[in-house]
Amino acid sequence: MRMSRFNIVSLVFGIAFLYLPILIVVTYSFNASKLVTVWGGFSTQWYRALLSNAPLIDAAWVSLRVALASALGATIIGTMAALALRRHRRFMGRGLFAFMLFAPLVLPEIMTGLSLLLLFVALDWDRGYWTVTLAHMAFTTSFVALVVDARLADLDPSCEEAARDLGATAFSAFRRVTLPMISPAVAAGFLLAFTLSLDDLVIASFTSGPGATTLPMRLYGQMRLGVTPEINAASTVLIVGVTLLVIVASRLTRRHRQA
Amino acid sequence: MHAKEGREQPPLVTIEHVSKSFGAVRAVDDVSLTIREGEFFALLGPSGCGKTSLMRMIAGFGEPDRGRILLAGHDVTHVPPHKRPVNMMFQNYALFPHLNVFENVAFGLREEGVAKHEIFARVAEALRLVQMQPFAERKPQALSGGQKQRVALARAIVKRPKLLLLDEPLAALDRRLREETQEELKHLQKSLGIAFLVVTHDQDEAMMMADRIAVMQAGKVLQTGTPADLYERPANRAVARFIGDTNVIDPEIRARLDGRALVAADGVAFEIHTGPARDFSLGIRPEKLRVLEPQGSIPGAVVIEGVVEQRLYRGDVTELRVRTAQHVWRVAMLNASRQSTFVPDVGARIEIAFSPHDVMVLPE
Repeated sequence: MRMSRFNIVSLVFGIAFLYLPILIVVTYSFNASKLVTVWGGFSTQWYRALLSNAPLIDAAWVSLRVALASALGATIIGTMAALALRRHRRFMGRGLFAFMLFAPLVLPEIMTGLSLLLLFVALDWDRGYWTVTLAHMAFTTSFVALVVDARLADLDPSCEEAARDLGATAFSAFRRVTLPMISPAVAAGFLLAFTLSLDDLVIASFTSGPGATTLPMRLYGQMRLGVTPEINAASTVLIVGVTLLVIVASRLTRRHRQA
Repeated sequence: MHAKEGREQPPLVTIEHVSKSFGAVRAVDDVSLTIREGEFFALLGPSGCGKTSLMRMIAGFGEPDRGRILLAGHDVTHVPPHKRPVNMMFQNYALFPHLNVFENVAFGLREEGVAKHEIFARVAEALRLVQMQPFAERKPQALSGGQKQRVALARAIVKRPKLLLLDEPLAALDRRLREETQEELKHLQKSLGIAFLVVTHDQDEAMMMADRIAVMQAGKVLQTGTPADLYERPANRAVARFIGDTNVIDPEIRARLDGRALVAADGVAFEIHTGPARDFSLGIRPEKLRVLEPQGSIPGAVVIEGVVEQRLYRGDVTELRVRTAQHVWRVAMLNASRQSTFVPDVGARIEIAFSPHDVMVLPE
């Protein structure tokens, strides 16, 4: 089918609106000039500068550790929550449980951040690595649960029954049949949680403390002193990393849908 | 066909007064049944009659609200599914998509902790029985419907259960394959000597395969018996209607005496055995009705006059709708020989006849 001129124009505008800013960031990260808005020839010097920027590398390291730990926790809790929701059609407070599980998806980040901050203060916990990790775990659990729940929704429950019928205990049936069948969704949920944690600024700002500055926090802090091409370079690295993870995650969910 | 009746096998499954409700719906209502060893038993009924719920309780999925289930003399009412010597073939086959055919069949043996070389031998044997050895390495997605059914069957028999449960085993197959598979299942059941319990809504399927059938409706068992019992001596109106075609007539009862009654249909009186039944209908199978040739007669038969309203040619039989004074009768005439059969035209005034011995007494 041929596309009408109107459709082509709206497609081009739509794509441009979404990706032009990103393209500019990526392009200027290879700028030889120190001025952000003037093109001074191709160079990779800002990437080299990035590697010698110790606070930025530290922040990246913190971000990766937080993302890994929180995604791991969120995957376990989110998967269990989705299983409970699907497996037990009726239990006391099921509706409330479902609502509370998925509400953080639409809750403004600033609310999540603020309430967690108040909680940590009330508990008199020193804010730092563990508090960011816990906070990220709290808000990414919903996303994992959503992805796994979608997979469970079109999973044939008789497969697990067949396993039980063939002599498997409930745990063994889960491990040998259900888990392999939902594993792509679990992996996709993990990657989603990982990327969400990696580029979160708002919640991290509320819940982090000295010595646990994440990469987005560090970039934001540097930007207040003026945008340098170094930030463009750091952003580009982040964009490429996140894009790769998202592609892998969507592949994982799609491949299983076809099977 | 009736060879088994002489030596009765001991009971394998005894279901005693089992009831099960889902919310306000009573899915299974005070059902008692016995399935004997080595028997091919069918639970027959329309969808929603409780047959699947009953089968699932035998497998261990869902406990009865009331009653007991005994398996080989042991009470298994509260035993979880993985500890019952029973295997089930699921309606949609429920093959594990991430495992190949061999591993699907081997699953139960691995759970049991059977030695590797024995697993290999037993899986190979099971696949040989269902003629699926060449497909051992395939994933279920790469199999046709009929092949999946065979793999599901192999997986269910490889553990040598005492009882195999089959939930609508042929529903997903096309008609020709279904007929072939019916015969194969029957043959397999006899050669393995395992009792089979089939759940089906298809009366032909049940009649073809089963040694005995329990007809269920609205959670209750209406009648249990051999296919011939159900067809020739249905316990009530619902069974007569569900199994085969029947002319159901509400007779005029003129006199009763000692379990016999003088009844009349379309004004023609005849005497029948009623037993203790008070309120009853009469049932006469279409093929038990005869069309009299002009000026013909059959001694001892009840003869009723009517007009042919419709004539349906169905290959093996020609079916007539004959309107009489008070009823419309369905008459099936066997097209045995092209020369000799007399088939009246639509609009013809004819006489139909039946023997009082072929009349079935059907309580409500």
